[in-house]
Amino acid sequence: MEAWVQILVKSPNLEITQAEGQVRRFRQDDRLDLSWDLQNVIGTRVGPGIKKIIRGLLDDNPFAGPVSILLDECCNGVIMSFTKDILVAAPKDREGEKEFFASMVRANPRLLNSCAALSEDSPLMDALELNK
Amino acid sequence: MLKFTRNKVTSVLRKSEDILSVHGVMEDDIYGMEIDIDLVLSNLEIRSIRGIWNRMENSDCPRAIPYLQEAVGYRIDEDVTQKVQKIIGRLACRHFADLILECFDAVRDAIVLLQETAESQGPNMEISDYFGVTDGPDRTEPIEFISIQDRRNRSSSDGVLIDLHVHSHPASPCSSASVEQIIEAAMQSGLDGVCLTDHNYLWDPRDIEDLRQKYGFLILRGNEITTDQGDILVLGLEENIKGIISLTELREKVLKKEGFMIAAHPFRGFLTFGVGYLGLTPKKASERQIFRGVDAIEVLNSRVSEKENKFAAGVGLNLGLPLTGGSDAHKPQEVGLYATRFLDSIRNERDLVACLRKCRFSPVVFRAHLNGNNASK
Repeated sequence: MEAWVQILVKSPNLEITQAEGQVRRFRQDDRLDLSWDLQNVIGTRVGPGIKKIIRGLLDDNPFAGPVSILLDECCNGVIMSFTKDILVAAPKDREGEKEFFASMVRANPRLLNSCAALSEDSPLMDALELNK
Repeated sequence: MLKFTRNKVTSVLRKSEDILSVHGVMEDDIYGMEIDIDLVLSNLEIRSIRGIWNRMENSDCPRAIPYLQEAVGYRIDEDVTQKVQKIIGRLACRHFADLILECFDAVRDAIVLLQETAESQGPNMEISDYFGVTDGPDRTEPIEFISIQDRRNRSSSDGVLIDLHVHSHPASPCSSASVEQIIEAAMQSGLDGVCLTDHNYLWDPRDIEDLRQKYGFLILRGNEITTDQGDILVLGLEENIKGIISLTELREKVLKKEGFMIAAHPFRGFLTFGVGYLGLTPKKASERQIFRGVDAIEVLNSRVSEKENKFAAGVGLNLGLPLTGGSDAHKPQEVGLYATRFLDSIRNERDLVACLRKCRFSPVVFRAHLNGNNASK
């Protein structure tokens, strides 16, 4: 199988305003334009829960699985394009790094225990002083 | 201008008669990782797993590697996606979890190919703002702060304190608290009641009545429904809605039943560091379609950041919509962190909806005082 999707996202609400795509190759079948089905996602917003929403909106499409994955990656890409510069600029020295990620978790508490590095017992979270 | 790129590649090799070997690689501007999984072809059970980092976000990312072993013994079945996301994603790293799921997809496709070609070719073939700079308003006047001590000394005129947003297991697979644990935690905390708002799940009224009788405690039925515009807490709708529904359709159904709709955590994850650069303001955000299709906005939720709660309050105030609070508890210890105080007596769902429709309620910071999880201070 070979397929692509493309979305246009409008700031500041990160609303999907355009979506198109195509299954170029699927076994012996001809090309299939997905743009009609993708109209369902127009008006949704890139953000938490979008994966589930996309999956639900495309449920009737025979390619719902792979197309959802492609759309999800597009949405991840949108978010990561905002966060990348900050993550890449994180201090490399240990103390600076700890303070940086502790500040990140203080500002976004749901990140605590969201992965091994940001777990309560991770040295990276020392600066949070959870027991105080 | 190209801002971000990511590539993923997975490949599946038939290592022996009954072993498939899967290799996955993910590379983007921040992360680089690889994973090797061996699984048994006859039952699709993971026999071994190994992951390595090529590039990572921080120096503690390697802590994720040992947790990958949790996946040994998993079978690729209908429950595996949730298990990988919940266990590997949270204990180890969600990027490893995503890559494992990509590997599983590749295995599924490989098996289709194997089945299709087995007859003709035999078995020997190869086949993967910086920390939320967008500020909400500092206005918190609609939000009350009530301590447990206040509650213990209360009089009947102090109203009814209900946690309007609670998830129980197994009705909500993402929750780790049984309904009994939820109720016991609510009773201990000093709440007057809880509203079970499991995801797209409608409790049987007889089961709830049994629980009410057993515990002598106010237990109410609600529902958290996923719409194309986000999650909505729905009260007063006796319909089991599956899948994603459009907000417009849900609104029609709820209005017909004279129910009540609350936009749940409307800015969850939206003010994550970096996205603040967007310059989203409460006024701009107020234009969202979701706020035209609800009766109230949840502005206290323990699973979002302080800024996101404040921002939601700003939008609610801007639109003149009533504001609610609820813990969004997924564990017993989270029950009652936030709540809603009702000025009228509430004995059942009908009373609840009536009180909501009369706007005789306000959001309350309750046990969050204790956890330092004070969203509005």
